[in-house]
Amino acid sequence: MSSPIYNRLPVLRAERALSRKALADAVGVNFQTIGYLERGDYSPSLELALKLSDYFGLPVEIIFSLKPFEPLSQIATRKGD
Amino acid sequence: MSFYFRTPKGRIPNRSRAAMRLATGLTLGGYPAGALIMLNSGLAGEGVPAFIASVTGLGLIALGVFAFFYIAPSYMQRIVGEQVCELDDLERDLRQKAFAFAYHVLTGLVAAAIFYLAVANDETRLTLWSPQSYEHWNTIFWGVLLYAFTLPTAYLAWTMPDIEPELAEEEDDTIPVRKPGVRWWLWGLIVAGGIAGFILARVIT
Repeated sequence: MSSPIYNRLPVLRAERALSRKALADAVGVNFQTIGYLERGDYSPSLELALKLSDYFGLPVEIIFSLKPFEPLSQIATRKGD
Repeated sequence: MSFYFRTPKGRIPNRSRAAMRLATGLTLGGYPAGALIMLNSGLAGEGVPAFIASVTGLGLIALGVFAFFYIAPSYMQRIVGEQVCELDDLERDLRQKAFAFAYHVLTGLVAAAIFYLAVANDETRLTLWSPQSYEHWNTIFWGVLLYAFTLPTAYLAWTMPDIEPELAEEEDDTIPVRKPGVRWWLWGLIVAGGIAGFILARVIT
């Protein structure tokens, strides 16, 4: 069993006020695929990960990670200190 | 090998995972059960009992076939039956897994069936039933075809994560991207195959 791949897709989508459908159309997949990705039910292929990275204009490692992402609240608290 | 029925407007009807599990179960269980009952209806005696057994078998077969037509236009059947170029990343991945599963099950079944036939035809050992008539082989042929079409979908019905209600609602708002064309060559091939099979059966008998 492969290890799960965590992602920031819900946050990035919310930041840009994108629907799943709009993001799916932009990267050429079914909107359900975006749902499965966000829930962690599916790990993307390299091709799809690169397409998403290109679409958001961010490096792949900012969107996907093998370790869980630190919650934004914790990052903000640490910066505040 | 699989089969997918595109609806005329290109919309994919909503089928819940539970409904798909039930439908694939009915197809995979109903057809062989019905065929066995129908082919062995003579064991129930003569007259009314044999007729009831025969009708029950036919009913189960019909249930299995109707369940298949319920599956045919579904999203899961689209994953296993649609042209690969029409599928996305996730769907291609699921298709590979479903085909791998179906391959293992079908090869296991075929190997078991050949082993059984070898034993059944060896007169020095056990006396077992083996298919003799055209009716028997016809039933087996359609059963294998139905299994080949349904096994990958059954795998998806039992393993694919359920679609969240919010996703299903989002789907309702979507408009089909394109209206698919009818694959006339495929239907032509099916009809030609049916006619050829019919003529061949007449010539042989």
